[in-house]
Amino acid sequence: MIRYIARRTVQMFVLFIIFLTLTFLLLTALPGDTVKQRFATNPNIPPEAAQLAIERLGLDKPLWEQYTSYVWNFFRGDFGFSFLQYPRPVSDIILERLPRTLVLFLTVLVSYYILGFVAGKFIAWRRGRRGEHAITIGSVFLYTVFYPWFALMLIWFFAFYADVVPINKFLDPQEWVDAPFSSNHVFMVIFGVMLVSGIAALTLWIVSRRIRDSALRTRTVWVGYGALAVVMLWFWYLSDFGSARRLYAGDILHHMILPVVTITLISFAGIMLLTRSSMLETMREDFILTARAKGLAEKTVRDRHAARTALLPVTTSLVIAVATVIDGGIITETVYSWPGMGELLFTSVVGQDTNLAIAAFSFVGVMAMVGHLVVDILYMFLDPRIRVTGE
Amino acid sequence: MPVRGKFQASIRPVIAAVLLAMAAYACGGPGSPGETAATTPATTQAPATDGQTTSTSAPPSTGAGETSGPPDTAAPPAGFTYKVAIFSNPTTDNPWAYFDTEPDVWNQYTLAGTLPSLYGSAFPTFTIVPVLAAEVEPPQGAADGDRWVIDVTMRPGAEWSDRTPVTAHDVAFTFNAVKDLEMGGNWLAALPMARPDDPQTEEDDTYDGLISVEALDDRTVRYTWSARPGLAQWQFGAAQSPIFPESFWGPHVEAADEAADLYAVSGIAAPSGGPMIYDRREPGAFVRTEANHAVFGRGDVVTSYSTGGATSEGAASWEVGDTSGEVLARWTAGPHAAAAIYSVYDTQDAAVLALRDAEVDFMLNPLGLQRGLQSTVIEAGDLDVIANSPNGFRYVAFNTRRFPGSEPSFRQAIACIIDKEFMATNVLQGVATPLNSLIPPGNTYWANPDVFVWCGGLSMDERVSMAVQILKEAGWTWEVEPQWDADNQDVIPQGEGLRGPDGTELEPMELLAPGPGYDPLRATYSLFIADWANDLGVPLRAQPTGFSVIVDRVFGPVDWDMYMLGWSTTIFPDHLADFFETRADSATTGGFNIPGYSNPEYDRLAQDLKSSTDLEEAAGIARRMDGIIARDVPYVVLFDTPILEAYRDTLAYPSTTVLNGLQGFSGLPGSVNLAE
Repeated sequence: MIRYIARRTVQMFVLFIIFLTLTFLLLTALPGDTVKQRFATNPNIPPEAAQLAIERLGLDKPLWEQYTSYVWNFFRGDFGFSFLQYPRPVSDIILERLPRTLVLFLTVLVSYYILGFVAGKFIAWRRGRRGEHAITIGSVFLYTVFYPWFALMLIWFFAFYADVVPINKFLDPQEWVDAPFSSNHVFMVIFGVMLVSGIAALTLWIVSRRIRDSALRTRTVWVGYGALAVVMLWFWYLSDFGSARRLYAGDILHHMILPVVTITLISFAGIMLLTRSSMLETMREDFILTARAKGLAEKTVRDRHAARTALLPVTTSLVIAVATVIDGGIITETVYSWPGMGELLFTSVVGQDTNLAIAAFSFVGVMAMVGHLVVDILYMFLDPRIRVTGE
Repeated sequence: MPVRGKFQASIRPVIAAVLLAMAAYACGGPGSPGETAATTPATTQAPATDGQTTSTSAPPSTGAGETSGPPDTAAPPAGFTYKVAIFSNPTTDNPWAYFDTEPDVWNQYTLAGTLPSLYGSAFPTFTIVPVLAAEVEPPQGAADGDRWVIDVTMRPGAEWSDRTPVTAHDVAFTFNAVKDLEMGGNWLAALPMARPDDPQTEEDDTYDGLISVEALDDRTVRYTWSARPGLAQWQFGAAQSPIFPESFWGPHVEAADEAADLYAVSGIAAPSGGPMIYDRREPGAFVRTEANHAVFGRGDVVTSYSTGGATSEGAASWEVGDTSGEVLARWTAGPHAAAAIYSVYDTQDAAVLALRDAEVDFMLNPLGLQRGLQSTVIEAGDLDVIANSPNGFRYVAFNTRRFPGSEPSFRQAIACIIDKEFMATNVLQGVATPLNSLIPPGNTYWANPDVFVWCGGLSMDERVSMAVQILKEAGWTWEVEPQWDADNQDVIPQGEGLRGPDGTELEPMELLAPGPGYDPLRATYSLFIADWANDLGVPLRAQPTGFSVIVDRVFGPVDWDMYMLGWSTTIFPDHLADFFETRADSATTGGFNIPGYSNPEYDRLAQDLKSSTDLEEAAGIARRMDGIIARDVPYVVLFDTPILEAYRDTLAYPSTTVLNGLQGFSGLPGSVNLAE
């Protein structure tokens, strides 16, 4: 196992160098540059100002020198400074955007994976019935709808017409003008809470799976989730730290509702259909027949035998999705005025802020590669049939 | 298995997720809407049409009407919050950086109005009026040996928002900081400095400029120039440049090894000398500014006249220019609003919904409101939509360095055959206004309403005949000469085998134009121009492409034939020189003469314009220059679109008729008020 991970790590490093090089070359090959965009259209700025800017940004050096210098600095953890927000470090900008994207898209991810998995399991078990047709047609319609239009319609209906959620943005300025915290701080707190509660819920789920007694298992689960809810309520309402941030966190979560609902609606069909096909395939396996022959209850066969096996491709999809969550969604972030990593990728490329774009893409690249590695390792634990060659 | 059990198991993960979400969401809810309202000072600059960078001969400084008078020490009124939508994230709260490395229009909107200047531009006439200077007009100064010295006296009583006085030392400090830290960008236009002596270029007047700025005492500033400055350098440049408080920025400048060190400092705590104080920036979400009740001139009554004059009545009274005309606007200098909040929306659709839903009262956008959203806004009933002329133009340019763009007759024939009225009325459906001059008619003092127009007012058949005649007279020949077919109302046959005066055959040509995604008007226009050129026998093909691609092509090697772009211009029309002077050739000096136009007579006029110290004389020169370009047509000025803006009818602006719209004055946060 260790040899396998080591080998994969070396492969990933080589792949990353290629990725970094291609990204650098592609971005520098774009027509124009950030200086031309900013200064070439302003006749009041004399040519020497543009030249000064070029020198400051290091764009006067040969391409190979820019590249080697960038790569060398990159691996020392110095991503350089932003061209568009000079002299702000790129890492500073990414740290500003990352929490917003993580909070929104991890919530979205959990939301549509749960909905998709539950719905997929449901329609697979009830294949051929009206419920399956209704859910499939409805979800596939949502899956294929033109996203920006659909999002704007939801904004118009829920935010403008019904006035139950805010129109865009991630906070209400009126609420925040005297806030003692920055929004980023609150995002980090929310992310921390999500992480801790997520780990706690997962642990509880895993532990409950090991309890054979059904009644005890149910009680354990409900007591556990209840305790988690109590801890949450204590944190947000009674602890000094949490209560001071409660209103601000609430405001952010209020602004998250519509984007989360939108993406969940348009995305859950993918997971649902994946789960459905996986379930249908699994249900034809001999071990399902054996389970039924043993006289096990249908629910047990479905949830503990069929669904568990069918979870494999869904898990793959989930881990990859988690790994790529930091690129956010350019359309989502733009339509909902949620300035996270997706919007950053877009504006940095359009504005030809090369340092920022490379760093942002690299983040996505590294996470995707690590995600693939995690999936491969996870598979070995989840599916006994899979073994690494030579192990 | 009982149904209840199945249900429980199926939805357990869902319940768990909902429980967690509820626990978190229960922590708080949406905030209640707050009060709203007001302010910031205006800038005298127009944002660039392409790229949305700000142009700058006039830096963001306090608008004329928004300054002057003793500070009101009474308790501030409750006021309202002026809620404004913007479409991109202001990236800095440091005004030094805004002037140099982050010249973004969104930064301008939010930072404008925090810094005072000696002189500013009157709203809505753009007349130069005093802000902190005691003299009504910028002094002319006098020769001092081989240098030129201008002493400016400052009014007494001006204070920063922290109640420390604004002094001549602050003015000198600003200049020295810019000079010592070698700041670039817009600073080079706001404070045009003399460059070090160079024996090879000592005759070149582009090296003349400011040598020093000193404080002779608390209220007297001395500007020393290497030669007598022209209007662009002094009246429209240094006299309107921003002033920074030394008390706050001094230590930061002292500690900075280079400009970047200073730019990294937050300007949020800096005292303001304008009507607004920069209060808070929540990156990606909003910027809040609050009223500066210590601003100089608050409470004065300011009046602007149609003849360009302006008066201020109050503690600091002044009268500038001809005040015999009708009153365009009269208002009490603010700020009247307690605060201004600039909320970031990434799309106009969302911002319009927010406007209709009263989340915001006004939208700031250099390009104005999209025409398609106009009806949505009007439907609301409590919103007013205004349209103002832009201070800019969209144009088609020729590469005059190579054939056939090098032939004036070719350019004139193309200019002749372009029917701007037809395009504006029939094709663009009234969305665009045809233009003929490099100085838009809205810039009334400088514009030339009688500028020459090739084939102006002619019908299409007359245009074809005239264009053919122009080419023939210059020696052009065809294998098949184009003819107007009256029956078909078209050119049949089209010209073929067109050859230049020396017999050179035309190679296929390209007209680079922004694609329909970037600017559908220019994309459409380019197709018609190519079509008309084809009628004449010119093998021209419209090539809609990306803005960056065009900029890269035309500012780089001279490998292009024709292109279409647009400019936003400043009030003082020194762009006439920048765009067509021989020494500004983009191919040789990196300047803005992209067509490579060269005309000794024009160059002399350009020199005269830049060195002129008299407004009337300068206006005469500008009109002559405009006339030359109209005949030689290295550019064919085509059209521009009015700037549409929408605001809630509960707001009252001193006037809503102003060149470039209210956005040109950053939405007037310093003088907007609640309607009675």
